[in-house]
Amino acid sequence: MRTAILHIGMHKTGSTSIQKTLESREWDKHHFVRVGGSNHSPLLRALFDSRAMEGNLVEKGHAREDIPGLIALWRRQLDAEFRTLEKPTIVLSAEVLPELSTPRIEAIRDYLMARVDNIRVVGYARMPVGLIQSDMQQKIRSGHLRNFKVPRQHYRTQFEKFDKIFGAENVELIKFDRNSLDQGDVVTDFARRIGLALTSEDIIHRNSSLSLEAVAVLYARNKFGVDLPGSPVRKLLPNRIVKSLEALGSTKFQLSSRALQPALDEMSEDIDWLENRFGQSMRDMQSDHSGGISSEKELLTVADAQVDAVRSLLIAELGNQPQARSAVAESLYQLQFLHVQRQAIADERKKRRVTRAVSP
Amino acid sequence: MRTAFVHIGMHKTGSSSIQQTLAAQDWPEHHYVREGPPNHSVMLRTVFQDNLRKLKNLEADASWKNLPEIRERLRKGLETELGQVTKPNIILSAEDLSGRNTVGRSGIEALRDLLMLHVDRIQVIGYVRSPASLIQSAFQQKAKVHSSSQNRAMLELHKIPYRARLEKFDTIFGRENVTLVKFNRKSLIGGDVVLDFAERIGLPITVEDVVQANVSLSQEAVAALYARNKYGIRPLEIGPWHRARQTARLAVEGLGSGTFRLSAALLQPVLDEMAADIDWLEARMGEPIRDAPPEGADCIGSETELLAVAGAQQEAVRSLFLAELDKQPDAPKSVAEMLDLMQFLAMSRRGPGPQKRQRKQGRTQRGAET
Repeated sequence: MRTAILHIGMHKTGSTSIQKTLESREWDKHHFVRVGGSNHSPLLRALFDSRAMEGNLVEKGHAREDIPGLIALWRRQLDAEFRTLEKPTIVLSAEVLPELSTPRIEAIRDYLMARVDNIRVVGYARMPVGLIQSDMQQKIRSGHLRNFKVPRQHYRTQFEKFDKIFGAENVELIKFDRNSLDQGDVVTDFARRIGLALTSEDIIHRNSSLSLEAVAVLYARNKFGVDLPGSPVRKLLPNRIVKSLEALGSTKFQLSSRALQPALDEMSEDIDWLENRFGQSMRDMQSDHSGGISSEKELLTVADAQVDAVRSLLIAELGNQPQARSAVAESLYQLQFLHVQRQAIADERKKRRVTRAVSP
Repeated sequence: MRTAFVHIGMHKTGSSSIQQTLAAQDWPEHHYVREGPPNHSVMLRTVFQDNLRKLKNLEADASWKNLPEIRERLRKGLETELGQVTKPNIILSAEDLSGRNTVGRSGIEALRDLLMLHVDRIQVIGYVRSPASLIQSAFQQKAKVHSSSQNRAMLELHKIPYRARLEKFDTIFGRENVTLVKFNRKSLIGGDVVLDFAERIGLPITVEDVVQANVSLSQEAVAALYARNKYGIRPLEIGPWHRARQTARLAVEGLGSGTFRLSAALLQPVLDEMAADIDWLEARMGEPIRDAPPEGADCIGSETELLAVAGAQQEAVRSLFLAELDKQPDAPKSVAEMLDLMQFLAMSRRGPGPQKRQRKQGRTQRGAET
């Protein structure tokens, strides 16, 4: 009997660590799908929701005209992995799945059921305060959050469909909480649930959380940086640069009760549903310590203090160019880019003034 | 009797100074055309170049999508302005008229016909730089305005086709109405091209009136700009980038003090190629125009030498950039600028993105279709 395990995240519950660990080697009885990288989100989205995925793949560096060919290749490769599969368990992990619509998830189920005997869905749910803070951090990091808007979560929309599509008896939802996870670790917990024997050496941890200082400077960039035609600027900063922001500080990014409460109040019914589904309390404590961020102003004040440190990072980055002549070219292009940035901001301000004058 | 003076450059003979000086104030007996910027090149080629595609290629800017509309507006503006002038002298100045055929022969004829509706005669005045000096100056100018980049810069010198650029004016306006003046400090009135031009058109000005613009750059500055063109990568739409190129040029004006000179070994092959053309020019001007290529250890003999000069400016150029960076007074905005710059740097080092490749492919396809 063959089983497909579908790990569905959710976001911010250690999915990358699970994926990197499973990808790191071959397992006796488990096959971790090898198509399209360790995170199968792009793969599943491309195969079952291709239109939504196209822009994403372009951003990741694929030429638009190459995308249909790439998707066809991925499909052939995934088909081949199932065809040649000798192990009893095949594992797919994609934290994007809760965001996909019911018909897409049904299509994934149908594809899998044509190739295995049963499907088990495993997902971890983070509690609201932790999730909101983590989500806000992620949205700032990806450049999507330009205003201090605490993001609401929609547990029911994300999870309920899996019960309906796969049957609740095949869907295991677990509270993402150190106290309830096996050995306090999500990778160990997931491995145990799918019957995979791991040693501590097998586990790869990827901690993607950022410090308050890093979040603050990224927020300042989202707020005051520029969108230029054809420019890469609004896209994700390369990981290497984000990693370098770790040097800015180590304060934990936390929102104050004042900032969180309106979102929690709005989510109240949704959290009730979650608790009912889990059969346990899913409300976590809010931070009341003095460092909790309450407003944009407070976050930008943290960014203020990082000017010199960010300047040093930029200078260090410029200094990574070993060739003097290329360094000259880069400095001049930086200078031009700075002008383009400032001009774009001035143009935008002018446009707003004109708009206000025309329709006060 | 009403006269139109048409100043045709050539490029690199102080045209910007002439234009900015004339545009700086109103003159009692002379009207400097106000339609468009002081340099009338873009305005004239937009109005008179009959090949719109050629204009689109020249100005790859979003605003040029409405070219026919813009052209009509400029034409009407010019015609109205010419119709309203009451002063006896009208002046137009556009070095592109003697440039790479951007206005076109038929465009120049159309300009003549339009002017003749409003004046009794047209006087064409052009300044001509000696070949060795002109080639060096043209190379310097290319380094300044280069905006395409992507490792396309090469130390290649191009011949200047004097005859192709100048002879048509004799044919179109009549040789007796075309004055070509040797661009040489020793022979110019007051040693200055603006004073010289003013004298020739009967405009009384003083040294204080003269605005110096687009001045020559030092060897170090030219080298730095050349390195930018050689190694810089521009992952941006051309419009904003095109407008920003001046920033780099202005910034490097303070770099070094060496005179930019190319060696005889580099110049001589081009001069040899131009020999017949220079013969024509000397016959037309009735005086020798050949200048000796420069000599000396500081003359640039190769791209390697030019890039070595650029490399030595690494710290100075970085300081220029950091000084500009520090002009941002607002701390969070400064943080934002620096992170954007870091991303821009990362992208530049990675090379052109897929969007750029797509645009390029799109252009190639469109080219094949037409």
